[in-house]
Amino acid sequence: MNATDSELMAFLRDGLEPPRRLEVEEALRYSAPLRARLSELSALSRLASPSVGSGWLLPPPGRVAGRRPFAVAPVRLDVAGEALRVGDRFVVELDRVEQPAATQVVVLLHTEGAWTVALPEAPDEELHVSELPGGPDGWRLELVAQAPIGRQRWAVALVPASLTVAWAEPDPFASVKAGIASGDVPVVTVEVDVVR
Amino acid sequence: MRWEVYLQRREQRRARALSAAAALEVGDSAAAAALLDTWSLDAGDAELLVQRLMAGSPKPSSRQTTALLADPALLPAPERGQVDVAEHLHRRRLAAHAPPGDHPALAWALDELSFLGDEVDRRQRRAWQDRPWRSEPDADATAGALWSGFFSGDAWSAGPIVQQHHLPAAVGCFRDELLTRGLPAGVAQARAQELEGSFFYHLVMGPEGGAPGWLELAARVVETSAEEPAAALLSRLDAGGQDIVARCVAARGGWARTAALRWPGRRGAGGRALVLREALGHSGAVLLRGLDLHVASRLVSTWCSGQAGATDPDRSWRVVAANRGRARGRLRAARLARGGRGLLDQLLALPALGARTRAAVGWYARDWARAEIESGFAFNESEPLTAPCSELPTGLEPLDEREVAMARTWVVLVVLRGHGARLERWTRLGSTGDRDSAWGRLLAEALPRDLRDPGTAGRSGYERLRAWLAIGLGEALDEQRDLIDRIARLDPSTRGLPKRLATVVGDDWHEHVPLPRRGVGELITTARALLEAP
Repeated sequence: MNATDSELMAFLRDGLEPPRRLEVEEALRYSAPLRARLSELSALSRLASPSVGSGWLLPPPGRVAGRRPFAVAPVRLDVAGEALRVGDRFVVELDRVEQPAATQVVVLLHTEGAWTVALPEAPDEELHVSELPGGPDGWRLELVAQAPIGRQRWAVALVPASLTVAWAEPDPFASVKAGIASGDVPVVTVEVDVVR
Repeated sequence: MRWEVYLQRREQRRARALSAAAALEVGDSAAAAALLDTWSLDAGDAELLVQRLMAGSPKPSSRQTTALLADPALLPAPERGQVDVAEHLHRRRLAAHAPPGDHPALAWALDELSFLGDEVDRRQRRAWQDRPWRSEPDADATAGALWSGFFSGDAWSAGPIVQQHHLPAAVGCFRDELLTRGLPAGVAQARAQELEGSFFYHLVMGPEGGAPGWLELAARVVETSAEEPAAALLSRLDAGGQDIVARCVAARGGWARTAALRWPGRRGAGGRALVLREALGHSGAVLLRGLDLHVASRLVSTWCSGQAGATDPDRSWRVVAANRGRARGRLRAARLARGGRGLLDQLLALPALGARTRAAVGWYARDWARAEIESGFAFNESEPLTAPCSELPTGLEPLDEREVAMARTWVVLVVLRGHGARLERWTRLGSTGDRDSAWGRLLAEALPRDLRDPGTAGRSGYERLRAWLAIGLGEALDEQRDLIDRIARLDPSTRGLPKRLATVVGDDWHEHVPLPRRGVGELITTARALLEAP
């Protein structure tokens, strides 16, 4: 009986259902090579840095999540049919936003394997939906394609007035993150391709 | 189990099997049927199995019969005689290393079937019962709040509990899964964080238009509650769910053959569904006994198939685990199809709900991550892990035997062309989600016309095939293993591969499915990888 690396790794975490766990236990007692492999995988897991979440729970691209989701028009490129290049502007159109004057826009960019807040970076950059160009039929959020080239992911979260960015706190966006998890902050992720 | 203890036990089994086989030869089946009391069977079912064994002539290798039936003095002792090894591993070692001999195949089959009945009980039932679940008041209360939130109609209210109590462990699981696939630690961590968000939304919101992940997760927790998961799922199955299960068992894949074996007097799938529906109304136990009959019957069919390796111990256990796993999945799908009715009551009545929930999240997160990784992180197309119970639209009949034979060959072609994951997704969703042109050709050019639904076109034109695949895909691959093995044994470095492929597959390749003339080398590579997979 064999056990795959995936099963051995799950065994280390007590992550196998009881029948398979029993079989892997028995196979380990029987097979010295399997025990050696288990040790290797255990070391591999230990050597990797402790696994932590990003803190930002963002949905797969294109899906709007939250209790009161808004609508997102397909990303519109204001570059006359040309492919998007670093520095080009593009637009995310937000529709069906409730209480735009009381709803703050938070924009995140996925770079180097992690999400970082692109807007607002300081209290004076806070922006409400009603301050965006457009109107109730579609608020136009203008973004600028960043380096490096390739597929680039952006997220837009709409923060209701009941939640605020606490600039004095170590993590100013803690309440926004919590609001995303509870569905009170609707959020969407969009992807754009940036070429050379 | 130490070697000496194993030999004592083997001697008892050997004597009973040889005696029962000898009695069978002179028309007395009572001792043989009694050997099968390790399975939970209805009266008369053991006799059915014995008759099938007699008619089918199982074909174990001479080493395998020696392993179970030869004089103990002929057996190679383990290198370290005192090693504590599970009984099935002693048997497996002997089946590979015992000297060839000449012993009755029927006695081998009776002993093996009897032993596997014990193993099902030990590995698939008692393993669940023996798992300790420790009550932790705080964790139990939190889990109660989690499930009450999910079932309240406002699944978002459970979101913060998921984030705080379950996502950190899930991220660790994702990262480890990615590490085993050779990703550098930093990349694995970054991808694990991506999986974190998608898993959260899969749980809370579910796939678009599909059952939310939390409902599947609830079923997984409930499955820890009885002597085995199937029993737990059956215990509160309502009348609508019983109806779904009865129709599914009577009409789909290998289950239909078992149902016909069990109720030979009932005409057609409809008649057999009615009798099962009636029995389920009284007790779900009828289905648990039927599952044992089905699994034992599949073992007998496999052993009598004459395929290479059909009687290998590992192959036999795969037949057991795969068939029981499929049955569990269908029962879960029936509960989900009924909107999870009764699940909350079952959950809240469970002791150690926190520990059970934590464990089930781990199992579910791993299954989900593996499916996502294998589909290339196709998050937009995330689907429930448990395929829904799909009913054929009115007017469509299930595939008949001739069509099933075509479908089996087509499945082999698709899988060996490297589209196994797409086939699974297409079966579940009706779309692969990626508009792959090679897949498109497999559907448009390689799929026999008879496998398309009559009078339809496009996506809705494959309902019968997809309904068969939902149950029959795993079985088809099991049953075509010998064919795949023959392909895997071809030498890809030699000339004239298409011709030699045609020779080795012979009549086992259905004539309505075009035999590949190009890319045979890749076919061989995929076949080898498939056979090496556990």
